[in-house]
Amino acid sequence: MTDTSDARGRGETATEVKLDPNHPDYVRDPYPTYSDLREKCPVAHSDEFGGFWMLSRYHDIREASRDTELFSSAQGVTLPPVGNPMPFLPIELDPPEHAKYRKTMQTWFSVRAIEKLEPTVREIVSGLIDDIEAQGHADLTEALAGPLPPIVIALLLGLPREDWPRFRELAETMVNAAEEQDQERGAVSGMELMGYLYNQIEARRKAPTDDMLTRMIAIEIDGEPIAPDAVLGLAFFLLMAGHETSVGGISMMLMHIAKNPEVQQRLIADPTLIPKAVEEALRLEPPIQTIARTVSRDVCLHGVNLTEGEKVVLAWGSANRDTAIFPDRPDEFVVDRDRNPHIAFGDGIHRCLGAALARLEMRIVLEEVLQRIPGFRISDESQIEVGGFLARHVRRLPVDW
Amino acid sequence: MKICVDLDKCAGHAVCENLDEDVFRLGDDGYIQLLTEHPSEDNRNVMEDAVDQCPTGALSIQDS
Repeated sequence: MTDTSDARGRGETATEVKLDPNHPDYVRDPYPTYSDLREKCPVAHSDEFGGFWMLSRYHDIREASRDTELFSSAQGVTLPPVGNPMPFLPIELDPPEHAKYRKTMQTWFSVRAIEKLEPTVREIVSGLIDDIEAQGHADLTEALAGPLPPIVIALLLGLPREDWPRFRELAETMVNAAEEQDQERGAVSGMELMGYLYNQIEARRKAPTDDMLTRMIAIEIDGEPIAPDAVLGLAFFLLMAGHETSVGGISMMLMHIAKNPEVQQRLIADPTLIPKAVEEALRLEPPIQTIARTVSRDVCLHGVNLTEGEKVVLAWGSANRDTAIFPDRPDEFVVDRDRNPHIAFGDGIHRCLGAALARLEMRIVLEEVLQRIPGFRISDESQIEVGGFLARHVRRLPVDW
Repeated sequence: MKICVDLDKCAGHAVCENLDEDVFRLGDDGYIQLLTEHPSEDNRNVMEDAVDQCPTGALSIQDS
């Protein structure tokens, strides 16, 4: 993809397809635009958010996510920027600093470590369904997809369970404010969330407990105790990434299953397909649609010149429907897709640390809803609200059963 | 066919383990362990997928 010796001007390809990330049609459904971009304009430009380039093809995105030297994460990875008061760690670090922070946490989120949470997660899901089962209808975002991930991340970090509505609202406000480019509102929520975490961390310095926040304080970087700011950066990111994304993953999976009675019947008849359905939901609707990088030097991509310091957005949501990789019905929910090398969790060294946790939550939710409220279907299509350039989730998901 | 893992590159994403649990296993140390270094030739497509999909490029196939 890269060819630094080619110094032509900004290619015509850069303006062929209009990329307006604020247009309501795009926010509601970015996939037709992605498809156009992949075909006609693989390196697209937009003047929004201070100006950025978008890569839309699977191969280009994978190559960029693996080239951490050219595509740096150190100047922030959210565009428009989420109002995080300090860098998100370790995702906003480049090598070699990145590995120093990530290595320790790797084992905390391994498949093996996460598997142990299965009974606890199932109990929480089951309890949430108890509250709605007899009603015959519910908003599944409000009742299930919204509460589960923050309850689980609170448990892992060691935060009081009853705090989840507060930090969930702050995190959601940060993401929504970023999408609406209301930096002040985002920053206010960011500061409040940081203050909350600061107090939780300080309490553990005085009285250590058996939770992830306590373990974070004990991390050593280059043989020295981790800096207090870095603990806050790790905790902040784990809290945000550890639940906002899964709310999106679970709610969009449930929306697709509710809209596809045939898929639902197949899964009920053969529950061994459920893990595949989870992967297909992730492919079709990655909750993190885009991640930003900054080019560290001038470079030419597909005949288009990018200048050092410019922002490049990697559109996972587009990569996952690229016909070069997914030739068979890329826009459909194909439950038993043979090969599914989706990159909903990203790629390269920054690939999602919590992938195993997200998969566990999604699988258990799907198993439980199919057993407890089988045949659930959308009650009113017009009530469904999905959107976002950075992150997508279903804000309201009213269903009947 | 011999499969190799470069532990300096492995970041324990376990993408390979998801593809074939009989060959790859994520150890308690957070890194991938090979349960066999010589997967059967019938398994070549899956091994090639594992090499291709490893997010950090830690896997390789050596043909003798």
